[in-house]
Amino acid sequence: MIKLVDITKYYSSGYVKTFALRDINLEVKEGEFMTVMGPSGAGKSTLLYILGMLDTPSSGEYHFFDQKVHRLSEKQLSELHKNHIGFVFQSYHLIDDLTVYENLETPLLYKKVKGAERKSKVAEMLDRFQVVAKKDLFPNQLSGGQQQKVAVARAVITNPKLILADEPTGNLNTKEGQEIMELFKELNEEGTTIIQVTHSEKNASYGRRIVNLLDGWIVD
Amino acid sequence: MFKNYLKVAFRNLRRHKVYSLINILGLSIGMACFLLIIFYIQFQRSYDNFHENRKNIYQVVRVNMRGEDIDRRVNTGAPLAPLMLENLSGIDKAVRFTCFRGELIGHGEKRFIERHFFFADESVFDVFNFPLNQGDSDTALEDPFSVVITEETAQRYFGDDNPLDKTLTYQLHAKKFDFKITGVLAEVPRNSHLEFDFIASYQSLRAIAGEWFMTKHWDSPTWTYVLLPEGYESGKLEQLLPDFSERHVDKWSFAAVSHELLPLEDVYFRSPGPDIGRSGNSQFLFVLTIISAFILLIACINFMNLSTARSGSRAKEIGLRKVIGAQRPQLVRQFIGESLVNSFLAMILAIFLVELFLPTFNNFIGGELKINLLKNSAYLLTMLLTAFVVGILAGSYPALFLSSFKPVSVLKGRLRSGGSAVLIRKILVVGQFVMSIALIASSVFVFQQINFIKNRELGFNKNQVITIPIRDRSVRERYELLKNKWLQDPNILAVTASSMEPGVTSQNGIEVKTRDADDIDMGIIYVDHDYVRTLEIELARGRDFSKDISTDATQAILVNEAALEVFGWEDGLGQQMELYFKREGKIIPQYQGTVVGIIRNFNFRDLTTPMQPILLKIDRSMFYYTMIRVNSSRLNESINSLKRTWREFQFDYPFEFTFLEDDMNNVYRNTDNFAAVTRYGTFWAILISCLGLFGLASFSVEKRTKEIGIRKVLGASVPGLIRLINIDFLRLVALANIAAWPLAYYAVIRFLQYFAYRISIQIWVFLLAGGVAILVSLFTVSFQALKAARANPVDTLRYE
Repeated sequence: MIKLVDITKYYSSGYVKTFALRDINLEVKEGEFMTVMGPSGAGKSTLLYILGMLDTPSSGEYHFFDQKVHRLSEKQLSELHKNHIGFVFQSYHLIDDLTVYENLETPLLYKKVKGAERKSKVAEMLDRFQVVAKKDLFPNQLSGGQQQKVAVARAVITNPKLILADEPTGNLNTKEGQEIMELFKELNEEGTTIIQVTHSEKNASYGRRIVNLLDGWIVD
Repeated sequence: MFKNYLKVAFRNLRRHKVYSLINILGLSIGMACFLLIIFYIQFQRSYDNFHENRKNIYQVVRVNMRGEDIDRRVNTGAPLAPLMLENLSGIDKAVRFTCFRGELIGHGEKRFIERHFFFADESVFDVFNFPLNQGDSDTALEDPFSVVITEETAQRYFGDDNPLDKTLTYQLHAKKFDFKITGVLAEVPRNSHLEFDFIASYQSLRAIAGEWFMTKHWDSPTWTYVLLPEGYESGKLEQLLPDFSERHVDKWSFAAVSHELLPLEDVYFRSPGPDIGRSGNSQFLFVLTIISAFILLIACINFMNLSTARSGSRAKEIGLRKVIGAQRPQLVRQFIGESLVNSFLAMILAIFLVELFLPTFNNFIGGELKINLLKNSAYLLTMLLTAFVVGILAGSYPALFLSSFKPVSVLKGRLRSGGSAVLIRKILVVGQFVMSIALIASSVFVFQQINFIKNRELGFNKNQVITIPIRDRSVRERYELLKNKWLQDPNILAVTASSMEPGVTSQNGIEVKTRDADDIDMGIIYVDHDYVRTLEIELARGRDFSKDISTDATQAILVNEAALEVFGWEDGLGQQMELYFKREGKIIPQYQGTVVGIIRNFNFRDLTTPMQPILLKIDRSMFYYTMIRVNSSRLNESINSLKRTWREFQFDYPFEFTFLEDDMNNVYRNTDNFAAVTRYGTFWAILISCLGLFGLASFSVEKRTKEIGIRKVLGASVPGLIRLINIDFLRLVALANIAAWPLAYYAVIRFLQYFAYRISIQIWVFLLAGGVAILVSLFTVSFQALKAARANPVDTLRYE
């Protein structure tokens, strides 16, 4: 499904180049549940953003199914991204001005899904993630765990092939974190590929494969 | 999708109340000012557009040529129209209007002096669209001594009675005629340059003004309009006019006379005068357009600046939307949509503001503007278009800027307000202040100029002079008695009479033959003894007219110093001259006289024209105004005394009076209105600029909260911090000054061209404008800065 060949990412500020990723070679098969681990600044998030097509590598090749991602225009990238990839963040990142219902609806709007279908999909997600009662509340009226549930729901509502999660339990207490991880496990069992970044060994245990990063290198 | 955008837009408004208020209020004030001025301009531009034939109607302009001098006038004579119809093909119809301004019209006990009694050819109703409510426009003016009147006039004379077939008595000088009312006009639109209360059949003039007036008088208060066939080129007709004029029109004293055609749509703004009715100044309109554009632009810039300044708080949302699938065009649409929501909200508020401002605004412009937004589709369209254009314009830059954020940068917290955004914002602020400062400076100059004009040394004393028009021969004949009776009251200091009201009406012309030259064209004022004394004109040499010297009444002439130059005389006293008219090539002698005194130049015309040479000569038959200097501390008693005496004489005409000073100020009413609108616009422009600056400063302070906290921990004082925050803005305002001054200079130079006597452009006005802008911005920014500087650094730093 995903093949990275010699992916390098650096940022230049003035005369200094800071490397975030160096010569990453990685293959991810459909249906995998992979965990990326490593200390702060190891390049985990950068890798995730590149996989999610929100950031572009400085060099190297990125193959997504049969598409050469590194050759695509911004518009094509955004098209690919919106049809196949869902994102979950540590700090939930819901849109503050929208209710739970509207937050879930927005990705469908961008995919130009028709009204009736949109309604049933949103209803389905509310039901599945047990947030029906909260649908008219705004994000700041929810607890962290609830917000993250909504964020996961928003990520899966478009039926993405790949879910990328950046420390999804980082801001949650143990019980909430567990709930979220159970959700990911469920989704993975249904066939969604999941790549998560985490510090927690416990969370990593939900996945079947671990990739360790250190200073931008894969160290195994 | 659209609903989603709307929701976000409204929630955003609610969440950021102060910001929204500043944004929408600023925009709506800008829009309201813009709309008022635009409506006024639209109204002015709409003059005479209600005539179906407007494209084919032309006003005939008389062109008098004498050597290099070309003098264009729109008053012609009664013989012109019939001659044109007879001798020129390609004229469908012609209409003459004649108006003497100031006849006494009566019905029973009700008598009024009327200034808008028009005589017009029957074809008036075929050429122009002045529909009748009662009567038949095909036959209403067929018979001599028939008249149609306006609804308002009917109300004045007849109340609610049906005026049809009733009789009005018309009195010009001592002659009286009865007119039969044959029709009542529907309301004449306010945007008509022709302004009348009565239209009487033209043939009546034959009896009233005489045969000579109808066939030989080429310079009467008569205006001629022609209607050309649909699609006929006016140029073709104009080619024939020189030859036609040469053959049929009396040249009087001019070397040559010809005619030109002025399209109806140009008459209101470009007619060379004397005006038949209302006239406008297109130059003022041009300046007003610029002012209104400035105000709207300033408001738009506010909007853009505040939106981009606030981008930090929107950045997360933008990044997220991109992460969950939004593409750039969708985001651009969202932000433009939001901007449109704001703009339309502002427009709704602006409509209320327009209603609120309208009375004040009307005061400035002379009460012309009536706004019925629902009835007038042009106004409605203007509003919708304004809201739309402002929404797009103000939203475009923020939309493009905001939608360009890279989601990764936003979400990783790497977003810094980019250098280019800050630069553009600075440029916009500078642009805003350039406009404000230019407006301040210009309005000060306009104010100075108008004051200068009004308080200028005129060469005579216009204060405490009462003017009473002499409309009737019976008054003129008993003038001497009246004068003596008036003078018995000690409060009445001096009485005189003349052919013109100085600074208000125009002088007569005459040809002069001296020892050295003949055919010198010269202005002349016919006056009574005491003219020089009553108006307090200064005598340079020689003597004033004297009652003790009996020949003075017929032979004495006073000339001003400008006239001396024209004659080429060193001294001038004792010079003999012959005064005459020239008609049909023949000389018609009028007077012979001797110069007995030289007076200083005085401004008998309005001050847009320079001092001109003039002769003063006594001729009682030419008295049209009597002017009375009264005791300023006994004004009411004086007026009552004048009135009492007038009544004792039992003239047909009722007593009426004006103050010379008021009459003269009325001449500058247009200019006054213009100045008032400029001041008004300037005030709001500055206010809106400050509103924007206030918002911008608050964001700037917010962004620098951490910096301010650290500086405070390091020991910075409150005044030091305020200075730090102010200095950024002050630099911008200072820069704006440099750009604004040449702009204002150029604008003022253009404005001053309109006047013969101009103020000098002084540097302190520019400095003042800059100073005001700097002070106002200092005040605005300091308010925000003080708040930030006094905050406890512990709080602000923890927040980070």
